[in-house]
Amino acid sequence: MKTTLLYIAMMLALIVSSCSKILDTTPQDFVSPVNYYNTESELQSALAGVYDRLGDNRVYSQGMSCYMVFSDEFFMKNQTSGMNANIVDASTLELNRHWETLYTGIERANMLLENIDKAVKVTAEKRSEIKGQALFLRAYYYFLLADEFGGVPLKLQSSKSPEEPPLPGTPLKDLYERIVTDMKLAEGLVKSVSDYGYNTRITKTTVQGILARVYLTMAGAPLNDVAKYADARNYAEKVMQSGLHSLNPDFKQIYINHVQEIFDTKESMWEVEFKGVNQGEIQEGGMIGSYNGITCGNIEMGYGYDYVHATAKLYNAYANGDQRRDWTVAPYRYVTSGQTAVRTNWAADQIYDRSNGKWRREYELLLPRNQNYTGTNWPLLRYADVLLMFAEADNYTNNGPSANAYKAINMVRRRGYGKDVLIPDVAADAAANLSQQDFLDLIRNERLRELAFEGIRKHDLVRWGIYPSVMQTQAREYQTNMPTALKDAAVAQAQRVTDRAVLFPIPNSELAVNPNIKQNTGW
Amino acid sequence: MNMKPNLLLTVLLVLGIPLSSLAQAVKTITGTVTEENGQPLPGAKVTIQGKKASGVTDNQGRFSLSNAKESELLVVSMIGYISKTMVITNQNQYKIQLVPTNTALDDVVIVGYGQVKRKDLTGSVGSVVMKDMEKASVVSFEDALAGRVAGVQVGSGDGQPGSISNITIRGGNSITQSNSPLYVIDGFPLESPDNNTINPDDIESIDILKDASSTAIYGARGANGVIMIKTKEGKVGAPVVNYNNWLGYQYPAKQIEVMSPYEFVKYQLELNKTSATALYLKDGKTLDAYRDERGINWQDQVLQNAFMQNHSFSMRGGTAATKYSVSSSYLDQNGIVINGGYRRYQGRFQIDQRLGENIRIGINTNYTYGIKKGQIANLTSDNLNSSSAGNASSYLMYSTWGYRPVTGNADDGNFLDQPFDDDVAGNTDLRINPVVNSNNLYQYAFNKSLTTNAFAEYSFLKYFKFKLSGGMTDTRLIFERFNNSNTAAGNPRTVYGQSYGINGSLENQNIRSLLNENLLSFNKTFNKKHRLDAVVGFTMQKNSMEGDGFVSILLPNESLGVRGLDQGTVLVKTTSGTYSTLVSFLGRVNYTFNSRYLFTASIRSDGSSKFARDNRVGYFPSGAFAWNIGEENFLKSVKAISSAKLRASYGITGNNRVSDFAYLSVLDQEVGANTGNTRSGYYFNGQYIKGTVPVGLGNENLKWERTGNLDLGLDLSFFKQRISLTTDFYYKRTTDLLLNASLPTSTGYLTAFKNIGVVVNRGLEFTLNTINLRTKKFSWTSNFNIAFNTNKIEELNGDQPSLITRVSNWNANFNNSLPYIALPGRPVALFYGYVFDGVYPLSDFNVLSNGSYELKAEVPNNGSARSLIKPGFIKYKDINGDGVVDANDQTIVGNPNPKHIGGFSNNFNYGPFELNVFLQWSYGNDILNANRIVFEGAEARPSLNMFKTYENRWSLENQNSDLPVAGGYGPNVFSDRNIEDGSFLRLKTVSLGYNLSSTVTKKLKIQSARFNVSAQNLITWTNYSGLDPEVSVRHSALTPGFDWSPYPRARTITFGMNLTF
Repeated sequence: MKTTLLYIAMMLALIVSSCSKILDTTPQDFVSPVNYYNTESELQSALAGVYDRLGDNRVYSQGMSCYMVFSDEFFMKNQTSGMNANIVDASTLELNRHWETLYTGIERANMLLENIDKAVKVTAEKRSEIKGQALFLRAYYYFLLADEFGGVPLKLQSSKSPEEPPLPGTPLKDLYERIVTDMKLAEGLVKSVSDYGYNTRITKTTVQGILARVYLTMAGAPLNDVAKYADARNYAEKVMQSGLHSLNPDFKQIYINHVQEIFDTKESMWEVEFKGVNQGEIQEGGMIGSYNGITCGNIEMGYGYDYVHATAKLYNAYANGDQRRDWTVAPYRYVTSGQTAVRTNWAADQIYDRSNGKWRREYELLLPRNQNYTGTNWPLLRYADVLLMFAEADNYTNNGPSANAYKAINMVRRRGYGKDVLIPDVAADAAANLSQQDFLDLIRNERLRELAFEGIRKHDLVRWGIYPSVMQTQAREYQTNMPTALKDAAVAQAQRVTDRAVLFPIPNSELAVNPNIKQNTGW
Repeated sequence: MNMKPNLLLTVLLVLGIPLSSLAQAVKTITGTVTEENGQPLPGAKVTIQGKKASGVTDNQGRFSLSNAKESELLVVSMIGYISKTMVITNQNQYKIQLVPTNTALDDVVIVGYGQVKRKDLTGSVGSVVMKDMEKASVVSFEDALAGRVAGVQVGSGDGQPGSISNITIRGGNSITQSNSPLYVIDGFPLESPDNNTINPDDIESIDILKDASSTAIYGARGANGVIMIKTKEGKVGAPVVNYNNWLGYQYPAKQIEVMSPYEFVKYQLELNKTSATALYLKDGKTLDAYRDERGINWQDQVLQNAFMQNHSFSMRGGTAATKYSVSSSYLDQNGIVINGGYRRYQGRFQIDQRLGENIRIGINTNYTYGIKKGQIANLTSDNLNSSSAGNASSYLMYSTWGYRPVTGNADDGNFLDQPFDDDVAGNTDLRINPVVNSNNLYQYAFNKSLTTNAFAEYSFLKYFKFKLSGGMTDTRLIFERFNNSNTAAGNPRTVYGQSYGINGSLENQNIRSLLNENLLSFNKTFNKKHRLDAVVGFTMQKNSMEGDGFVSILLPNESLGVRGLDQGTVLVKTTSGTYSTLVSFLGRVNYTFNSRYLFTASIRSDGSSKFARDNRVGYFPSGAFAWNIGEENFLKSVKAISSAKLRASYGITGNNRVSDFAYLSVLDQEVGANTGNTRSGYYFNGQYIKGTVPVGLGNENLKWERTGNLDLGLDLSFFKQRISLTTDFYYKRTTDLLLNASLPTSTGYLTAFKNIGVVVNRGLEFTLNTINLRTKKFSWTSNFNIAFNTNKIEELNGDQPSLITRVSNWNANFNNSLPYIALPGRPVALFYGYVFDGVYPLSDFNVLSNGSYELKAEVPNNGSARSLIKPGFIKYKDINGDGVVDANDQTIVGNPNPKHIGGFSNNFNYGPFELNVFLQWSYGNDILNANRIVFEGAEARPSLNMFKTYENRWSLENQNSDLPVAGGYGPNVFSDRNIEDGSFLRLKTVSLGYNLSSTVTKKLKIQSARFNVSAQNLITWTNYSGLDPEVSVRHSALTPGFDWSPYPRARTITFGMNLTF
């Protein structure tokens, strides 16, 4: 008996000693952060993950080209439900996803920035270049969040445990200070666009141009820190003096380039790069041209959802001779019958029936076309915008338009009229001797004409402090002048822009589990 | 009828002593042991009291004993029957009938790492009455389990063949994790087996461990309850060969009535007069002309009466040294939806060999090959490889109900064969013919499952046994899909088809579990009064899973089918692998004093690789006490009470249902669609760079979820066990929930695992077994059980006030409506939404000068813009009275949790006839009928047919209706309008059997023959308007009771034959 028990005891002892070994398991199909961020390709791969967020459907592939940026330049035809109809509350899925997408981008950047110096074998120069891009993108995502949601939580370290206490909102001013600090730091780290030859990476002049945009935003509502006009002017001027950028002489070619994936680094300073039609393993197509394009029911011809329609305000903002009008506001649509679709012009009085015409699918080179997805790039910063920002900031700091401000706006206008940008033109040029206010009004309208459908109008209206009032005016205008078949939905969309709409509600996915954050006013 | 022999026995016993003192001659007696109906009982033990001599009856129930003396007592006993004692008289031939034990106090109950007699049980264990359950002709035991055992809630999501049921024991503890029990099949613990791999004919017993005293021995996996399944073993005796077969038909138990051609066209005209006139009133055709058209009822086309058959063969037998059992079966179940079904081939081999006095070895192997075919009804058919949402019209029942009954054209005859409805099919609104789509879909799921268990048992030192066992289950799942040009995913006109052409996918999963167990047990009775029974053990288990697969698109040769996938372009390829290990020590002591006081204590320590080093080990103790109060003198004198036992137990159990590496943060590279938080990668100047991004936030502090479980029970039986009652009260409190907790999304993550939250379940269970009537010819016995459970969240994710949940991947239009809420103080899931308030009557409007209607300023909107609201539109209550109906007006609108569930089984025997009637119910649970949302007006797509109920919608001519006007559904929200009472009482099984009399079987040279006709789901009494009230598609603890495009429930009639040779 004793020997048997002894034997069993020995067996058990042996087993026990091997237990902890059995319990030490290692993951088979994923890597842990501790094992990563060592080589340049690993760093580049992590950086691609930070960029990736720009192309999400709830960022620039779809949402930020239309239903997240309702303004006076468009309405969503006959859309009566969901965010397409500008119905938003804290539980709106698209809005939750939008917030989540930006914050995952921030987390990805945080992880990369924390770990990048582990990669000692990668040259310091290379690391700087990567660090600069990640730093800028994190700041840019915060800029979008601050612009859309106000004083959001500022998180500059990666999450270490789900049990960390939730972060409170950050005062808007502090948030912007950090955005500016990081962007300025990035300015010194990233390379020049001439080093790349394409415009989908963050480069020095891109950082400067976006800094101008950030400063203009700070100068306007709600911070109204007017001292920042000088910074905005300064950064716009840096871009103008870089010698790297100029206007494309042909307005429509800018958009054909987007559609055909041709990089025009002079005019188009920063784009979201989409590619392919989501046919295959890598799915990096966007919905530019389909979701917000010309109405067409035929896939071969280039399908266009009948959503984003121009307003009469936009159409009528263009004077005669302004070639931008009939490119921006499509004068035709495709009428589908059976398996074919025929290009058909609108009658002269059919203004509200016209779609956004900037990105025309007939120019797509990759065939056959896909119903939803296109390789069309999305412009995030154009040189024309920099010129107009310069003019706007200069008009403020100079207490009225200077010659340089006139020069900047006239370059944009002349190009719109198909003229040489440097040769004065009676038809195209802005009226001389405008007062400070009149020049500001001109710039506001010029921005509408030049940048329509590029997702910037709502941002402009908000910073000018006129978003709700402009939209309520639009609602009345639709009520009076819109065709009956389109009216009800469009009126409701515009009416929803009340005072609270200058900010989105903080989404439920944050609010429900973060007791330290407050809902925005009115939501 | 029991009374008389027992009385006689008592008298004889009293006289026994003087009688036995008379010396008698030794003689040999013979006899037969039968059931009451004359069926011979093999394997009964026959002994003479006080003597060593004993015998076992053979296949014909015969026995023979030498060494018997007159006036000695002959004892005949058999598990499952009441032992009988009779006095040996001067006769040499005995015919003994045994009566089955209805209360089965002597039944052996399989518990963790052992077995006990029911009367010695301290914990709460429910046993399935297998004799009743066998009456149901089912594919898997899960299909017949509902209502059999108190407190075991079994819900099949819908009627899909080969699908797996959701089983919850005594209410769900977990909020975000699985609540399914642990299965222990012939000693092998598995967390989520596919129970379709077990042939129900192979099952000897199913015991359900419910309280901590019985489940704590499974420690970290015991909290959800344990289902112990034991397969049949060979028995000593000549080979018993059994052939069991049934075949029959299944047919759809119900159809939902949809609109007739006339009603459909009338509705179309109300929806959009211009386009409907162009489509349906061509060439001067009038609406009334449609009254004469039959149109196509697509349900008739898609559903069918389906043949089903099962053949099961077994041979079992053995000697004192060797016992064996072999069995095999074949099952073929056609689906009641065309082109689908389930098929199974299965074989099992078991042997148990004694080597000398002390050693016993055995092996038990099962192999099952299961084939599931056809579209999953509640998932879209047009996605390529996952369960995400696709085109709504490719949901099976959506396309069946919604496909229009007439085209308005003369050639409606071809409509049946055209893959698409051309008149209405724009590119964004493609209608797929459900018949063509179903017939062309190739969707298979193969399951090849091998299980082997082997053991060696060594008995030593009289009271000790050491058992070493090892086992393996190896399951290979293969999914094959092929979409040809006539399917929703392969036709060039659909979004998928256009992008991917002819396409298909292959996916493999290999799931393996390895087990080693080492048990030392001790069993001794001291001084006749103290019985000690103890077991200690050490076990190791490793679970692993590997998967791989790919999607191939743009296939050039359609005719090759899935074998031509190599010719296409690879779209998605995956490989994955994960594993976990578990190392455990366990121990249990049962101590019984004088058969009156029973104590059980157990402990298990589990070490799991699923947690970080410092939190790996958990200890799960339990203790129980039972008092056989019936043995006490003060109750013994109460004649009516034949036994009584009080039980109390408390213990801690755990739950480890968390992914294998949840404690680690994860980096991953994902390519794929433009949405989702894990997607990564970016093009720079046309060069793609894969993104590596954090996709999971680990938590080093994760540990076991713990459930404290108190059980108080009372077992009573009366009138010599004619009536027996088991009552249990339980209270389960689960703390440190393994919660996939929502994180503030500013963390960069949506969820991560935390040990947080508290859930309480408490309830009452009653099981009543009665022998209602027993005469020579006729008997009626019944089993009734009922269970009440209340479930309550005591604490959610920290301060999180509530958790609202959407039904994933349902209908993109409802993405912003979340119909489920979890609130502290309330059950885990409640329905959440608006309160339906009828429709806007004309009186709510001002009539404007141009004749249009304007909603009066004092009348609240319905969530839509006021300008969009017209008379007859749906109306919701403005609960907070702010004049605006919005998200703040949502409230709790229903409760998907039943108040009580139960079952009622009755057996009637009359001569050779047996009738089993089994009823099952659920009371007080609500269902969210999402089909009615869509098909009573919400999805106002042109030419989409609606339910017939929608014919009674509001219109100027029918202003008394509360169904919204055509096109008047308003915002896409959930409301109590579609919450329905899901209570039901179901006549689940009726089985009528006939046993051939022994005279006939003797002539046929067979041992016994039984014929039966049996029906499943014969009648369901319910107020629920959907196809079936037992429904829960996309089931999870947070989203129960959702009804969307369910696979219709079948009613089954089978004819069976059971022959024993």
